Amino acid sequence: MTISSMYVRVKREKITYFIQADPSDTILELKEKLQELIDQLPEEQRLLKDDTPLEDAKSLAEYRIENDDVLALTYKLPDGNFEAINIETLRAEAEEARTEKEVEEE
Amino acid sequence: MSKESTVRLISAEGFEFVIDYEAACVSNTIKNMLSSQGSFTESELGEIKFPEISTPILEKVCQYFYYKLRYTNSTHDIPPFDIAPEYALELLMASNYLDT
Repeated sequence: MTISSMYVRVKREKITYFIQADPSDTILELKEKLQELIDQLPEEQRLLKDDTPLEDAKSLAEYRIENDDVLALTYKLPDGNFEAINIETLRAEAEEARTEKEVEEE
Repeated sequence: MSKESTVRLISAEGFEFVIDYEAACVSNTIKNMLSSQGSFTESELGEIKFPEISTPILEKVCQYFYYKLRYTNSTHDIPPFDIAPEYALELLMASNYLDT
């Protein structure tokens, strides 16, 4: 395996995919790499950086995506729209647990 | 990158990290788990559960695997690998277990 110059962390729900890439790679190429892991065609995927959807034809460098950056992955819904960003974090879980506890106490 | 060449590491809270096989093998423990003889679920599914490693620690470990892969034998300047003080102890224990 050749080591690429960088990787990005692509997150959806509780899963993080570490994807190796080069700054010259396009968003479409990144989606094609993801396709092999998630069985979703590139046109059924949307990648976002800081809530901004990324266009297929542009490169990582154009979006100033750097090593170790986090991108959000969303899937196309049956109605043709894309789902909202859904990245689970530990903190969210902790808050949820706390709320449940508070409810119980009440 | 294909499904066969990746490994799925699962944290105590059930979060999953999908990384390259080569990156996972930075850890001798994982390498041994995946290459051991016989049909262990680990080597068949390429999936390893770490009930004792929390999510932020496991993510940091995965980041380190790639850092190590990239900079081993590198002649360029090697940037520091930052570790937050609050994670230092847990990370040390994880790296000891993973033989990394």
